[in-house]
Amino acid sequence: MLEIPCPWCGPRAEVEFACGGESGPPRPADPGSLDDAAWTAWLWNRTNRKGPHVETWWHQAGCGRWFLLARDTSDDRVLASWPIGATPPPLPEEGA
Amino acid sequence: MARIAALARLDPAALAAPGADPVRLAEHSFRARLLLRGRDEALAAALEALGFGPAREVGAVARSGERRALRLGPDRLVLLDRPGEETALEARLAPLLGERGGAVVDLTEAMTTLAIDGPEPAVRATLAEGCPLDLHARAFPPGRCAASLYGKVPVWLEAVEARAGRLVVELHVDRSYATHLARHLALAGREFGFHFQS
Repeated sequence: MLEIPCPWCGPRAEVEFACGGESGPPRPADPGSLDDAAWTAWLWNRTNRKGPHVETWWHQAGCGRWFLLARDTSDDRVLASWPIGATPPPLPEEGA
Repeated sequence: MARIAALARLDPAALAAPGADPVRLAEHSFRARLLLRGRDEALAAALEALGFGPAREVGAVARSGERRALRLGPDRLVLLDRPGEETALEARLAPLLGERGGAVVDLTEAMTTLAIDGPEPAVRATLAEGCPLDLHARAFPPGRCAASLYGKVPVWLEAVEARAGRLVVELHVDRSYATHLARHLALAGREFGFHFQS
């Protein structure tokens, strides 16, 4: 089980959280102007990268807040967490 | 209409386990419980109006006489008071929070409070059986609160007081889960002896 550092509550067990998936690119400002391929790409395609990866997590059973978490997908190490809108801490590059 | 405690139909004999100094479970069914939501500024205004000191940090508990305020998240506070106070508190806080973009909800009837009392190591071990929090005295001393789980049941925990080697912890839980939670606690506390006072 992962120990996830909630930016407000501190380190807590993974069972208290729900993962919201990869923190994707921003929603297009004018979705009506996109063609199907571009919309599909925004909606469904994720990088699925190996290495440091930023995800949204929800502290469902705790403080109830969403936040961002950087996790290395190759070894499951949790690198950092920060509130949505805050400046993310420096993260190691892929393969570093 | 008469109010009925959430654990009223639970048979104390069915939960009991022998022990010289057992873990004791009691229910405070009708305590006033209000959930306050809002930004820091709205919650601070509510705390000040009720005569509390600040409780800015998540996990802090503010006290004012019998009233307690648990800071369970950056945008949420739970207010506990004597039974019967909920209506007046809600009426007083609703405009105060409303003006500041916050809200207050009366959860008195929606939830109940189970209090666990006993020798400190036994109480902490009983809780640790079902709760993933760090329950060491360093991390969860009296005067701290946390929203977490017990088994699969969402609970709000508060370490209320420690005195002469004994610890009181209160678990605030949705009423419909209370019987299940009480049975789970009784199983977890069996090895230390368990006593339920209905």
